[in-house]
Amino acid sequence: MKVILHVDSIRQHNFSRLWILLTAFLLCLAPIASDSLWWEICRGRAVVSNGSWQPSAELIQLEQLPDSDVLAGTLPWLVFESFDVDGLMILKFVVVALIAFLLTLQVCKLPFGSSVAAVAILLACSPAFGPDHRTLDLIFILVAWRWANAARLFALFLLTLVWCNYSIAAIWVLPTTLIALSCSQHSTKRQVVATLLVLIALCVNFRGPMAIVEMMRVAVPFVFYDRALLADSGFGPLAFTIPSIFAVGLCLTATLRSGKSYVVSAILLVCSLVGMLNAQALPYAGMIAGLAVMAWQAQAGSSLSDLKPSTLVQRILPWGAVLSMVVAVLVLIAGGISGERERLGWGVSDSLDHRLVLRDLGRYAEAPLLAHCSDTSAAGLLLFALPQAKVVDVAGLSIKRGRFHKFALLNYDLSTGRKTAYARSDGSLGGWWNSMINGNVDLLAIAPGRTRVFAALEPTLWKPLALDAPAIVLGQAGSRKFTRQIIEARNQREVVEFGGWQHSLTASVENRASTDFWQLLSGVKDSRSDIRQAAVFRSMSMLNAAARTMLPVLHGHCRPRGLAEFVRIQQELSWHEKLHCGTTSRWRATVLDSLGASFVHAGGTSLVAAPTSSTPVIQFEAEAVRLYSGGQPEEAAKLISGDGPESLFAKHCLYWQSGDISQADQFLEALRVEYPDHPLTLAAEWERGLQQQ
Amino acid sequence: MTEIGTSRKSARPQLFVATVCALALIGAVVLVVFSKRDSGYQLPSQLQPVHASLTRVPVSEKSCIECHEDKVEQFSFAPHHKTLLAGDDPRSIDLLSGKQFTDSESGRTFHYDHRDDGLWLSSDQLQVSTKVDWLFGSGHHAMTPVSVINNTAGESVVLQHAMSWYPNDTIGWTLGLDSSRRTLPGVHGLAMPISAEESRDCFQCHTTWAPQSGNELDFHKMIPNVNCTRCHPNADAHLADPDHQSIEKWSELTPLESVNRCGECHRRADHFTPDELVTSNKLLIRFASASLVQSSCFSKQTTALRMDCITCHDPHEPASSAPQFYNKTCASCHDSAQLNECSSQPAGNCVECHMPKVKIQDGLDFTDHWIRVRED
Repeated sequence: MKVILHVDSIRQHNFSRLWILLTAFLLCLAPIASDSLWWEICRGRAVVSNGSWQPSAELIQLEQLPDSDVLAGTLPWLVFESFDVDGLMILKFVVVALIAFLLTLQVCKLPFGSSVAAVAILLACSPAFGPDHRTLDLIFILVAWRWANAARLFALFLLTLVWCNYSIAAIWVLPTTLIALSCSQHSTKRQVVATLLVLIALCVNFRGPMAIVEMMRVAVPFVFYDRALLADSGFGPLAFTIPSIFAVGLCLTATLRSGKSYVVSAILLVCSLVGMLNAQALPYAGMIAGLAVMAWQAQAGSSLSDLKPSTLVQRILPWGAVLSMVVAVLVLIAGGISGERERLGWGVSDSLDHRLVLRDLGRYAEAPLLAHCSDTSAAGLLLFALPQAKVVDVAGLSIKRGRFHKFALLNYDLSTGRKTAYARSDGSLGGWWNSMINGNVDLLAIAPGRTRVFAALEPTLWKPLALDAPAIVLGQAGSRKFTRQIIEARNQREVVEFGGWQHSLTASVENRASTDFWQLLSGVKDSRSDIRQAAVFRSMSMLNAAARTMLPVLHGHCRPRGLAEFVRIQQELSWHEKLHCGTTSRWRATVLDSLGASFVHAGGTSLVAAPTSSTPVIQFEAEAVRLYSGGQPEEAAKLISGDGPESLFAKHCLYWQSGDISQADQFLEALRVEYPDHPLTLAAEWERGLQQQ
Repeated sequence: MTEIGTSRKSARPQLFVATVCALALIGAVVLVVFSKRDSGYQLPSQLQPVHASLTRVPVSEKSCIECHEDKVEQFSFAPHHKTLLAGDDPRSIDLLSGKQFTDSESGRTFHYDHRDDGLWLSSDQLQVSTKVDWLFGSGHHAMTPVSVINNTAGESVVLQHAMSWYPNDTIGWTLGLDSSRRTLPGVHGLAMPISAEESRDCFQCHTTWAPQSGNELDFHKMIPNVNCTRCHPNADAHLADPDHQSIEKWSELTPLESVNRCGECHRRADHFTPDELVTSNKLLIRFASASLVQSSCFSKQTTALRMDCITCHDPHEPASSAPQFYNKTCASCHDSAQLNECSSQPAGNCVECHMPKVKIQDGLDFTDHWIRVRED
């Protein structure tokens, strides 16, 4: 079909290119946050520096087989080795720019409708933007689409061959090829030949035809494994985010627009379902669906110049769509409404800050240690810091090899505190303690988000080697290897929980591994890592350290997410008060009431404090509570009057959390002298660590 | 809709855009349905602890009585039928009310008192009281009172009392309580909090069914004590079609499967590390099923001369205390010539030497099930 380009169309065409490239640039301008970054870099290091052709077997204890995707990680490692983190960011830009460029080639003849689709594709695929294999997978899909469209079958064969040796997601070449060939009306015979060639190419790797089975396991893990366990591993169903809305929208649009081509409809429907049930696959499904939509747009021959608006709605709607996408991009770059996305910036996300792990584990660099890591990010960081170490397993590889349940159930036992052994209905044996002992595991590396694990490990012999790393590493107390580090961490714990430590948001921002452009532009600091750190402290029963961490966050800008963590800390404090002395203080109850939070145990009647001599019921001023939940405990304390036990306890807590130890000591002493037998005196002593727990 | 391979001049880009917008909305709804939860998830029954895998109301004991009246009646006297007692049950009040214990080392005095709102544990030296919600154990060895409260996640958490009742009708320190806890102040001096997951395990071993309502245990629906269906898991199929679905027979399990079935609650050998499975480990004495499988009697058994827990203990009735009963069981495998080789008591009490009772603490003995010739 020949399209004559008018001046208007050329303008639209240039505008579309600019729009797509600008969107790609903005989506790319965020610190690297890919969970598999360090894991891939370690694999690349094993291949390039150590000359290993079985990188997984070199890094994973349970692994013995060769990898099909042996080249994965080589590119990021080479770039990192030469140019450090800046090189990784540039690699990310180059790869995403290439994606955007390939998309602009798809829209060259039809600027409007398909450029909307191209931007939708970029939004849908943005979670996969990074220097790891997932971004390259998107390029492979785009190139495979173009070559399949042009029926360049030998080129497609070679591309697949390279792809399957680089990435475990190479199986996506199949739907890409089939849909591309259908869209460009190639004969069935050619489609069959192309499919066979692609299948043969997928077998040309160190795993041979078994690679296809493994790729299937990774693409559709929900067929092979329990969905509840997958949800905890990153391979579960999609989350409610802007990119996933666009990906699902594209998938549904493509499926419905495929019309009477039932085979294509079926393939698109399967891709959509796979994307919805496996969040890792959603960008691939979105990309393929988006390319199909763009192809059909091209065939329909529509452009803005064809548009003859007849109604106001028809005139407004297209520009409304453009506007909504611009808003979506702006929301994404501003940090996202969910707070899960990185903000505009440069470098590596705080959650992947390798410098902190090197700081904590540097002294063990030459030790051949074995670690269980709950997440791929934690495994990658640990292996990066400890080149001689191995990890027991990682989620992606265990899914690939068919042993995921064992890995995930161990994580489940860790998070639920199932330490002692127990029998499961399927005949397997649960309980994490024996797994660690029998497996000679030296270290546990847990991502900070897994607060339930820290809470469950708190009363056990496994103690953290540091408190503020992006992967909290724990060693077993009593093991000589880690004694010094555990004691150092213990001392830090004493300082932040029981000393005069005060958290400063500015200092924490300055220490970060990335530059936050959004903060430079707006002055608004990113408090996500502070909130995450507070959650780690909370789960380790360092409740006052957690509250101290949250105070500057609340004082700066009381984001709902920050307030939610503050409420959890208050609930936990009230629970501990109840658990230690049988009652919750009036101050804590007032704070929770004012925050609209329930404290679920309040209804529990099986634990009571002994009756004390009658003291007047005190009403705390609303302003005091407001100041406290706004991050100003000292100001709040000044508004509390009276010298009854409730007042003294509240003032003691507030001064102590503010870091004013001498004032706090005065009120504690007053409690001890005036009300030695009062439950709140005991509660204050517990919280100060003056009572053995 | 545009079909593949056709072009349509009248295609309207705005229709496409409208479709994208509409489908994005549909997508959002789909996302809400499919989206993952942040924390906490329910495992499927086959991956849950075997005693927690029952997802529906089990067959009632009353249904079993219809055909197995004598068996059910016999079982009503078995310790397994008395594994859990409510705190407000008159028997609990009779057992504990007024009981007092003074620790000679710390000087602390603990006492159970019956008040208007139930039975409470207090100490003169601690400013808290905790209520008896349940009593765990049949009373054969001990009965341990617990309180149940909800944590911040709304999960049921057991507070295991520091005091337990023993068969000599006294109260004393609960077995297994770390001695360092005996001087703790506040609630921790009275009771030990147990994690939510392990709290569930406690109830799931001591009940026939311990369902949950949200995060907390549903005590209204819970079926206390170990009933028929707890050990005969296919009882519902048998009840639906008794002519064709026979109840599972434990004799059809392998000996190890059979012992491990008991070990789900009484501990299996593979619950322990190899260095814990040694005769010098006194802790092992408490766990009969784990100990038994270490014995030569177990490992050298043959198909004809089978040995598992039910070789000696009929779970439908209390364990026999008569030496003759056990001698006879021993003789069923060991012929008279072998028995006569015993230098100490050729015709006496096998169990006394080979499976002696071991005193764990005052008023509490356990039979060591690791059957062996002892050097001492």
